[in-house]
Amino acid sequence: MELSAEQIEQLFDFTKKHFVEYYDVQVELVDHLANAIEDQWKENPNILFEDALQTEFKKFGIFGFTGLVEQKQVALQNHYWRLIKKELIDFFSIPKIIFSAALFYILFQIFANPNEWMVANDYVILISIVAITVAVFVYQKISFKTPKKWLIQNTANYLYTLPISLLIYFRFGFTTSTLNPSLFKVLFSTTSSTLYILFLIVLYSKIIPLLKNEIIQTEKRFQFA
Amino acid sequence: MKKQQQLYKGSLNTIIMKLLEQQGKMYGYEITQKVKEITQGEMNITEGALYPALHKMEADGFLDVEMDRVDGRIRKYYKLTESGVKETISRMEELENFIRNMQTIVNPNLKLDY
Repeated sequence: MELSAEQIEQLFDFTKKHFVEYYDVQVELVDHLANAIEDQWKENPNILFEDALQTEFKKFGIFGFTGLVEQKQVALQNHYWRLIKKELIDFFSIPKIIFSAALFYILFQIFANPNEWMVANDYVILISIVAITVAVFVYQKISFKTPKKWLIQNTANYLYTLPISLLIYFRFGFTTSTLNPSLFKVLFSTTSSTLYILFLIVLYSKIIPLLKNEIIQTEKRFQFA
Repeated sequence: MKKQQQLYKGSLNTIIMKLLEQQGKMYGYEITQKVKEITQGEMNITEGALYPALHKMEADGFLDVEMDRVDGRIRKYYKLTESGVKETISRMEELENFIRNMQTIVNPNLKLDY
């Protein structure tokens, strides 16, 4: 006995009710549950659909589907973090280290010799950086929108918020508030700004194109559906 | 039986990869059933362990996915990527070594047979 189209719909609703909002994960779970229920019917055709479904759901453990979704998110995030780390390390090996060193030198000169305008407008500079970062985030988030929600988009959103999160973390590093900053402050500002810029380069030149491609590929895979 | 499940747990990824190597492509439910069938019910891969393992290997680039429409629903098939094939070979070597060493520890007399 096979599940009816209506029962398949019920399975989709069931996954949604159990906090699975991503279509690709819903599809996989629905097929799994459907197979398992059909196998139960092979053994005993009198089992009610609802009862068979509950039996199968219990097999997913106490966290149900949520644990599964979370673990998949963690796996994807870890994967992209590993890529970021690899690309960042690349900036400290030949030949890219020449670029990193030049960037460090230029930023060091700026932070070590701030002009009066920079000191007077340190908050304006900081607010401008925050505003631009937020604007880019909003733009990316909108451009990532697709009719169906895919799990990879959660990872994409997470990676998009990183420039903002890191900005908050490094907020004292990007501006200069005195004409004669201490060497420690200059070094701190230079190092954090260099790392931040390198991170942005990696994120926007490598990681985000990869993510966009992955979203397109995911959509393509489901196109026939 | 329950204790045995613990022993299998560490080799779950290797088992999945080996099955995919033999079968070409498989879907989640099929994997659980195949393992049950091969081990005659001895090994039971739980859903809570299977999917995180599959998803992690997919994120790591060892598995590729393919969609197909079957019985009015969409089925997600997993298959090994090129790096997945290499990983399977090295994991199988590790597992075989482990089994050999365990055999030697559990039954040292076997050594005489070599």
